[in-house]
Amino acid sequence: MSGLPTIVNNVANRETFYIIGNIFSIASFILSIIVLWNIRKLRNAYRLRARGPSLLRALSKSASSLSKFMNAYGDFLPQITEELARVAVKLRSLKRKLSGDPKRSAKRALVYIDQCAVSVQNEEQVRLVYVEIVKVIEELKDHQKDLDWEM
Amino acid sequence: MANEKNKWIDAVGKLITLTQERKLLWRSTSNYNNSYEADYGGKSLRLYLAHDGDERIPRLAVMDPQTGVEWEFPYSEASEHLIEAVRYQLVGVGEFLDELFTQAV
Repeated sequence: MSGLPTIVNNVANRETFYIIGNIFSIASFILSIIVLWNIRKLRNAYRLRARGPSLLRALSKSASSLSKFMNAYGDFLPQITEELARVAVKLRSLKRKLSGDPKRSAKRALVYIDQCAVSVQNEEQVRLVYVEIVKVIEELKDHQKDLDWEM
Repeated sequence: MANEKNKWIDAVGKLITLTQERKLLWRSTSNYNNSYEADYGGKSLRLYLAHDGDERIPRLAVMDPQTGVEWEFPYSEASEHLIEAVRYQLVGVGEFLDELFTQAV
């Protein structure tokens, strides 16, 4: 060892290996997080690809029913309540599979639904909820089209 | 892009409300083409079904009656719901149901 240059001696000591080992373990930890995050993203994208179209169809059907019930709002209060509950279930399911802007839209619509009490006095609020649902549907349709390109 | 589209959805949503509250009265302009018209704010609204491949999708346009220039709203599901509301109004489904339930004992 006495033949080695001083710099090699300094690098090859035990402390240096500890430091290098620590750096590698931190780097692999960060890498694992990135891989896990990507796996989660991919899993959600596949779930959305598989379940998205049927959830979207169900949401469209509910929005259409809501719109029809609102032709005679006062006569269909229980049906409107029921349809909004159905929409909330679908949106919760979709929210878990979404990310970014579509997720925020789904969350916003859910807040609107949760805060909306269906009653004769609240017709305007229910109409606002309906419009929010249509907005989410349109945003999800665009998102589904983007997914067709990505996968 | 989404915000721009949302603005049109808000507008069509408002037209649905006005139609369902009978503040916007539509008339049928053709028996065969499913074409409807209404007047609002000094403009004419035109709603019709157009062929898009195998499908027939509703198109909503606003027209200046003096110049005849027409502008078409971007498509959204709300347009489908508007045409349903227009048909409900023109057929008089509400009145029909009222009549039906007052007659039936």
